Amino acid sequence: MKANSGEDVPWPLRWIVDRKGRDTGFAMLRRGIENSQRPLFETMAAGHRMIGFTHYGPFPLYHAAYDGQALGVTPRQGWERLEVRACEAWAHCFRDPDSYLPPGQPRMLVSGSDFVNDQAAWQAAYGEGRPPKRWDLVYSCLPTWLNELQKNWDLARSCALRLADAGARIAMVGRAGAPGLPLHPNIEYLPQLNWPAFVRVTASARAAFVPSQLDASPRVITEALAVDVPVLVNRRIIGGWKYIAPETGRFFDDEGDVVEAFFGLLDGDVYPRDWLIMNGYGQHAAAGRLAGELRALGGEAGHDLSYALPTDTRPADTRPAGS
Amino acid sequence: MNSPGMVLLLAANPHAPAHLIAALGRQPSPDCREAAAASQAAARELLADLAGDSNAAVRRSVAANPSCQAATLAGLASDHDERVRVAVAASQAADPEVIDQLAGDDLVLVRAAAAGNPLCPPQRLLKLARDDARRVRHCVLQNPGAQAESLAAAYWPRDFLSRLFLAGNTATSPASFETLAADQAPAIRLAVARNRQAPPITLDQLAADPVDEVRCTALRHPSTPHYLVIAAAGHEEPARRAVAANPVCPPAQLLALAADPAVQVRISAAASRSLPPAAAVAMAADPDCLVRAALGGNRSAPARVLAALAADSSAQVRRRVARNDHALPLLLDQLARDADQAVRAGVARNPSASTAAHRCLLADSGLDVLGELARASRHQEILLALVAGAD
Repeated sequence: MKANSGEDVPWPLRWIVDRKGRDTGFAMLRRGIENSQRPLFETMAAGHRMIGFTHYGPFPLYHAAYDGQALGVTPRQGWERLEVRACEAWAHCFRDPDSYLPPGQPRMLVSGSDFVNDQAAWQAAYGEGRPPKRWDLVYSCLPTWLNELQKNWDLARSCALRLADAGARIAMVGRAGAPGLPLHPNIEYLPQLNWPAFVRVTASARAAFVPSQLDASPRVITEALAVDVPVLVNRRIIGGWKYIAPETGRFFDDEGDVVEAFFGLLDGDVYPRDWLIMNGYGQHAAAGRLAGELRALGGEAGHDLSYALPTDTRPADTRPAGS
Repeated sequence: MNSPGMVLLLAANPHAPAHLIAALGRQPSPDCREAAAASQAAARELLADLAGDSNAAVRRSVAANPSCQAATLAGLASDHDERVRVAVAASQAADPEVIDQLAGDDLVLVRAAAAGNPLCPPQRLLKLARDDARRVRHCVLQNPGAQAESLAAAYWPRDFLSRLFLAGNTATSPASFETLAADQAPAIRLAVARNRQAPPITLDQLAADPVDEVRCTALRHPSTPHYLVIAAAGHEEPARRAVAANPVCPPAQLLALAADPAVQVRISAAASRSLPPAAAVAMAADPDCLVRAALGGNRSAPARVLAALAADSSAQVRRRVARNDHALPLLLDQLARDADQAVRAGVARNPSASTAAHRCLLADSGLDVLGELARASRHQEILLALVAGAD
């Protein structure tokens, strides 16, 4: 469920480009590098200043689920990886960055989910008219181990049953055909949807349900806010907590309080989209903020650093001729 | 709300008039046919017709519809679209032979769906437990109908996800629960504490876990030994909140927790279905409207308490009573005329509301109210009136 695709670089790596798609002299690392990706990383790091970008569970810490090959190591040994040491600063999502990031390097509170394309989301949701509110809550979790872990499927299904019992109508996107589904007439399982269809389903719900804990860059939150849908979020989420304000949503702790938190949200006055935009989120505003942070690092002379957008598409000024 | 929006809400209503669903199934728009194919009110004959639709999303919705007959599913089992085959492989209305057939599919996603189906034949499931694809083995581990032999074959103790999925499966053996409850990773212990089949002896251990989240989850579990629940009612706030949310919390503890100084604890107590009537009466006068709102949503709250809360000065409290499906119809008749639109919308979605209450709401100017009637009313008279209005 991505708004864009067609990657020029593997998932762990991102270029940072300016408003015209030109190289800024910076690039990003989003997770550990596999052996097959190392030559590309080294080429990229040789020509760019590398910024760590927390985007993949508790990276740059090791975690047993995300780094299966790193069995028997401590989480902080993740900092010793060559690619992690190559990063001179960290764009992160954490409330408590000291627990996750190597010490002594500059930090900026910038997440991938900040860069939501709010206009594209709005167009996808409402371009064909305002959909009716068919569901109370929408939850998204594709049928892969990464999603089941990151979107906290175990807590999600437990909460979903309680919410459904309390009368909430729930759409669970990406769960059709998945194992262990709680059967309840108020829960509807939808297949994986393309991005515009997913955003439209989100707009058809009164709130988005985000029980994730290990999600460092919960784009589902900013996409919901961008289409003026508030969010019900696990208080322990490692990223995305910064989007929760009385105007945008509510936290819940566990199955014990999720129902009351949901009804509190349903009955509250919220202004999610206005809040998102007024607080410097959305693609253009976030690109402006990241550029400011990179300037503070002494961005390279000769590059335009008024706008800095992480992207999987090779910068326009470094593409081979004819491409 | 526009007419197409109203029709979509009506189609999503499990009590939608059969002729509306049949008419949607004949529309040129694939979205309409998909809505008909997904409807809980769709007739089996309509589903059989739509199984031959040219649009794969429509056929997928037929296959995923719990009302779809086994013969229709058997026909869809060889569909060229993988999403359709996934839906058939996961269906609990499919014959075991059909699931067996799809368990041998070339595509991992289809085999995975069969591996997660509780009706998958045991011998086939055992084979899937040794599948080359990790996703298939993970689905076996999440299958609530899996036999011990299949779970053992699919289980790789060094794989974090294997442990997590086994910990969350209701088919897991008591011995495995015991092992997993001692796992180094709190997430695994938490999944055990959350599992409705976790045995008391394991919960006993988890109720003393060093991690708050694990300990409180165990204290909310209905199978946790009573003496632990009673003792924890005198512990720190998160533990008291967990005890109040335990569905079998003893009345004496609930009575005490209903007067707890911490609002969150009182909210948990107010929402408890085991709340003694005397505590409910006292809580109806709680100074915090969130506590009264939780009580208003409590299905076991006595009728006189709900009647008092229906006249509460806080709209938030009245909204919860309006949505409470154990509220008496007479009370809902009264709330159907409330000044607050969200209260009226609550009555519109309440399955216990009378035809008269919903008839009164048909003339409501609030779009949310009409939308809720379309989505949730059980009264054919109301739904037919809305269909006529949408035409």
